[in-house]
Amino acid sequence: MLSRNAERTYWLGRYVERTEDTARLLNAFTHVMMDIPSSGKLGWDVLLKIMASEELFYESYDKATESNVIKFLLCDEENPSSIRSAVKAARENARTLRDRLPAEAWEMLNDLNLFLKKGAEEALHQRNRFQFLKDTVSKCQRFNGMVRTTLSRTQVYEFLILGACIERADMTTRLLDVAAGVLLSRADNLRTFDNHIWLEILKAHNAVMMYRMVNGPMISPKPVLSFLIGEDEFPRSIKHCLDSTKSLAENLPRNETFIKNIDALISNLDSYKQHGKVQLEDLSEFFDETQQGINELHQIIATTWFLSAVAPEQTQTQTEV
Amino acid sequence: MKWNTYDPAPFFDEVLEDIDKPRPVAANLLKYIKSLSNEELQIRKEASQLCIEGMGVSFTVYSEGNNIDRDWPFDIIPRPISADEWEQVDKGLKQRLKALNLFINDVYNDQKIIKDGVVPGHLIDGSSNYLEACKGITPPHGVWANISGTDLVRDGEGTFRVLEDNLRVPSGVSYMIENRGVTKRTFPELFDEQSIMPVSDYPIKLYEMLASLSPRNVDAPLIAVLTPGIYNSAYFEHSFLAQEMGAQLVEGADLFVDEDDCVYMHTVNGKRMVDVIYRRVDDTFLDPEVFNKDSMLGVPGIMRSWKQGKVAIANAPGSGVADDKAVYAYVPDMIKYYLDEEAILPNVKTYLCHIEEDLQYTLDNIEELVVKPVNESGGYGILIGPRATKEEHEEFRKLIKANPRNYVSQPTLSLSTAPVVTDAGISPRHLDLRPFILQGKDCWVTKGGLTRVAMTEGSLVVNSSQGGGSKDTWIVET
Repeated sequence: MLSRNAERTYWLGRYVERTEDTARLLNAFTHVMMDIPSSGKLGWDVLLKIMASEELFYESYDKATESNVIKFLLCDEENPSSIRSAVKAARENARTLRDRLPAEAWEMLNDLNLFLKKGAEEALHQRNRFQFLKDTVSKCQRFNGMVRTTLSRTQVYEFLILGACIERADMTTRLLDVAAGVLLSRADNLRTFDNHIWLEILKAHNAVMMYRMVNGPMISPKPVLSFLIGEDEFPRSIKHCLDSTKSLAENLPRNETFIKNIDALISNLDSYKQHGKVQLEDLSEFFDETQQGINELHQIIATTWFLSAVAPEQTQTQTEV
Repeated sequence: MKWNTYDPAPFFDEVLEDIDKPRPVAANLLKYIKSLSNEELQIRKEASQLCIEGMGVSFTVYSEGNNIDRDWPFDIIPRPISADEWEQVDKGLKQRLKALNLFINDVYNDQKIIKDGVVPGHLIDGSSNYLEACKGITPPHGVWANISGTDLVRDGEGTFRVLEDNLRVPSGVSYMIENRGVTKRTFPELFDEQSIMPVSDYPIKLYEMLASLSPRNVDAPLIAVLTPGIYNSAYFEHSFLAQEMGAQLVEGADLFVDEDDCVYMHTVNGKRMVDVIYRRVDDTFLDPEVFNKDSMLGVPGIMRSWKQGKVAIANAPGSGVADDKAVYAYVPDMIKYYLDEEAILPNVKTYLCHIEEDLQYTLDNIEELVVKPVNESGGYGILIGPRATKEEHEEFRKLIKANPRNYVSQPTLSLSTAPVVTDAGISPRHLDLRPFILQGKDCWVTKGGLTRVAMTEGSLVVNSSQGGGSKDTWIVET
């Protein structure tokens, strides 16, 4: 596989995953904001913290109101991590990979792009938002399902899933980091509805039933964090993402540095989740380490397997007859 | 559908012989289209647009900021041509490309045609498309231009004439194939009653032709399509062809020439040898070691590799020497010279401004002529005399006098017309035809080609880069 295509495939995987995860997050957060009475409400700026895009936001908007934040994260083309931008980028990468993917892959992403282009503005209204986000998620899942069932298990598949796993681990880490930071530091009188919020966090990962199979019906911060961070068998947990990443990398050449780093990161997760419990005291430090570890993994992937490592970028044009 | 207002006169119309009589080849089509109400026709038109959007058929327009990717403009009414007529065109195109390839090989080797005084030497010496670096080379099968997109027009009498030979990196073939896909979805009924020749075999023929150029005798040579990248107006096509052929789609930076002078591509697993390159990058961008030193689109050392026969490049660098509007005028003479045959497809009368008499004629009659710079393509830098202002005439007179070698002129053609669906109903629009001809070990012509149509009433400019549209082209067995 061409190194250039490996890079594009990886980013395709990341962008599709980012689309789905962001849509899930916006959906869950909108529910939280509707359900929690004003005494226990969170601010819409929490979403900006999770997406690590507060700075960019305040360049164009003055207040973190619902309509501003949703607009920024859903359809603002100036925001590279908005759903609109992620879908465009996914489509752009797929456009350059059409010869490496099943034919339907391109049509699906093209369809998703048209869907966003036509419907994103409408979804700013609460009335249309849930259906829109649900459709976005299901279109991403259609793509993923098609990939699983029709893309040959070659390096194309490996880099696509590698991208998806890195993105998912990254998003989940950021979500849990902010959620734990905000929720666990609140005064007791504000925490009446917190378990409801933890439930929504599980829902954002489509994880409620899977969680209950392991932990029973009770929802509380420790087991939720423990499940989403370290559950071996749950595909959206950080641990599972990293395990998958590792086994994909084992098939790739020159993988020594990558494997060394990911082993360290995984053992850090394991040591954290002693006896199935998460230590709430130093969560913040733990999330910082994990976040940094994931960034490093991305850097290693880029320098080991991508074209930018051996050849410079180019931006010239020529006219065509 | 209202047809009583449709009057193609005074032009040759592809569908109607006169105002109420269809040409035999179009009889079925016309009957069917007439059976649809205007509303139904508009619904089909919208469906075809959705289909194009959904299939992601696009082309790129420069300087549109972020929106680099545009949907392909398409008219739903096909343009029929009878198979009998096409047989002659097919022969004529093959004849022409054979002669052109003999000419290019001659120019870079013995230059017999110049020594024999058939083609003037200054056309070659003065041509920016003549590449010194290609001297003394004979590519596989002696063929330089492996892919030609020859532009044909019908004149007022309905005779097909060659307007230009595109031998550098002609584009449009993917749209020819996609157009058929859209028509099949828009008017499936039409395919039941008639025998329409297929166009989707092009990528297979292209693959076979490219494979026949491979320097190594392997079962499946590695073929790469070299694209300038996603900002090129024909990127869609590059990607389409790579996909359809099962070839690698690469950019310059993906390739490198190693110490053994072979061309390799960077892959995740290390380097991999490339046998044949179908390049969609212009000659002078191909190799910064030989041509444009600032080119980042090419591959340093690729000319060295090509000259030693370690990689095949299609079209061969330097092919453009025969793709020049002054050289064009001599193609009928070349056919006579190399093949001892008369040209089957006539040229359009061309006045060469380097000839004193033709220069004078051009300057005196500029209001009626089309003036073209010899090296440009894509419809750039052209003056259409009857449509231009007095100031523009004067400006072109000055340009021509300053550099007569750089200009040719031709009578303004009464291009043929065909019906297109407009918001107001059906109207005639001018069109041309670009068939694609492949020559490697064998020679092959598409069944039909890309019909390009000027979407503006009365306009003669059909280039997609200038707002033209296209139509599905049918070669119909009658």
